[in-house]
Amino acid sequence: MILLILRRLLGFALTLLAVSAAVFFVMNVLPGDPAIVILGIEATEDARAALRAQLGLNDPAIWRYLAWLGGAVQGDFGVSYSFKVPVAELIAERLPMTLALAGLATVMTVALALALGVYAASHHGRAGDWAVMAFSQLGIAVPAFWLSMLLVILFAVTLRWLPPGGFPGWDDPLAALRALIMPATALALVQTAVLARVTRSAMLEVMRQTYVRTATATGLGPARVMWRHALPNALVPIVTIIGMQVANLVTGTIVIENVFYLPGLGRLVFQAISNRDLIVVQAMVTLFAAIVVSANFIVDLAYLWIDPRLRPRS
Amino acid sequence: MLAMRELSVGFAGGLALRRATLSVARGERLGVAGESGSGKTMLGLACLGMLPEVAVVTGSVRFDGGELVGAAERDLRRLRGQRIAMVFQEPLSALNPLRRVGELIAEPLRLHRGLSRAAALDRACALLSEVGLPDPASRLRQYPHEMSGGQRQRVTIALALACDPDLLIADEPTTALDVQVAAHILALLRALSESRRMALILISHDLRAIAAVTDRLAVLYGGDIIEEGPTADVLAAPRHPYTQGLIAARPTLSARRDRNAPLPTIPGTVPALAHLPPGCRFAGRCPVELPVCRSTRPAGNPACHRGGP
Repeated sequence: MILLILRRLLGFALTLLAVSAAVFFVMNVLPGDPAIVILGIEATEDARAALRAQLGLNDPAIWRYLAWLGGAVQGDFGVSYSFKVPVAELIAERLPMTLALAGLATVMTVALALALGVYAASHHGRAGDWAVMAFSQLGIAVPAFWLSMLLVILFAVTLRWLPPGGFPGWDDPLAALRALIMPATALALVQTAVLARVTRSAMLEVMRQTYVRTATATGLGPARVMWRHALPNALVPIVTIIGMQVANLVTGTIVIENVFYLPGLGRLVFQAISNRDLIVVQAMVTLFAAIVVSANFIVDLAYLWIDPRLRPRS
Repeated sequence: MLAMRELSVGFAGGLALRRATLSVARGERLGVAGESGSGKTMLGLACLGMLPEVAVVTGSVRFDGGELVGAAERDLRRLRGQRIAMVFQEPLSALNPLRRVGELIAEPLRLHRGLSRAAALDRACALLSEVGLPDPASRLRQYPHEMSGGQRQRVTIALALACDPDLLIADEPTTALDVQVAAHILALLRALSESRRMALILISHDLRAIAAVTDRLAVLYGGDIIEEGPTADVLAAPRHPYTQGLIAARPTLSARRDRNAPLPTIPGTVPALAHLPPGCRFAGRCPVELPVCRSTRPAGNPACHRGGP
């Protein structure tokens, strides 16, 4: 078991190394000169050349990558060209908001999708099932940014229940939560639609198994049979999809944070790309990759936790 | 104790069970013999009120005086596991693979009997030893996949026995098992029925299994109960042509049999649900068929227009 985890951790590190290298060299061939970003187009060619030398941009790419990597493993991702502050600081400032947004969206997705999926499966072929499937079809078809605008029109403009955007900071947790509800909902609904479908079909598959009949035959109630006996057996495909959705969630925050003016990582990466702030983009893409790879790692561990048959024999 | 009267179970394609009448007394062991598709599993599920929702059910199944057909789910749940228990066909898939054996057996005990976790596990341990599993205490912590087929079938039996049911229905409990293991399981079922004075319905296609365990035998063909009587009598002197064919088709170990002669079989196969003949369902395969057999359903025991030999 320990060996298995160590092997996964090694794979994790190698994946990150590969991603960061790929990102670095892609960034390198992109057009755009950081010196122009920093000094503006008015600056003289001499000044720009001096700055390029100071930033080390004239060194060979491989050398610069290694230098960057050496800093990165110590938590030093360099200094942002446009914000003029350390990248690590930029990220640390914005990370909590994005984590809260993504976490809230994930909790909403999982709770709603499991409830809908189990409900649909236990009402297979009846009106409740059709209603869930129709909702899910709609959810898959509707883009999150458009849904966000509808939510803003309804809850912020017409009903005035929630703020239309912006983030008040963490001093007032309730206000922070109010600011995050709509963006999290917009992120969650599309994911819920997909996950509810997966839950439903996984449950239908499991409900045909003899052990579900055994549970009913021992006099257990339908809710207990569904939630305690059928659902755990349906979890492997469900967890797989949740893991894959983390990647969607990361890209989703970029869109949603811009729609709602939330000062999070998604907005930061958007600004960084617009400003050709390559050193920030480099760190951000590596960070996003780390999030996705960690999600997969957690999914792999979850399989072992769910199903004793997958655990290595001791 | 259990009385089934004129029970019919219909699906879109036809009747899976046609006006079946059967009864089981307390402590009695009844065998239900039939090929696959004869309606025997439906008969078992009907006793638990667990027929598929799409089935159209008429007639009556009474248990201890209470009607099961059309009973509320909540009342049926009080019977399931506690008064009537069932062991299903596939021991390999009949146990939830994610739960330890101890938790599986303890669950109905905690739910129905209100036992504490520790008391329920103690009881589970005693049950595992009652069904003949060696070292029951360490078995409690095992998962089903860590056991062999025969051991798992013993666990499903222990699970069925957990709340001391009055009636145990075993649907093909030995199909997936080796002959040796199967014989042990059958002996166990018989011994449990005797020691607990528990009625047993053994559903099987295997006449030898039924002969080894049961007192009385009902033969099912195409949804009809075509013959019923004391197991020994029916097997020694079958009166319905189908039962006769079934017994003749049994391969024997006798050395006298000519090795080159083909094994006796009943020609044809059980008709599909949608193509069941309106009269006697054995018509078309029967060696002694009369013209009336095709049109009119025979009544009586045996259910045969020839009225037996």
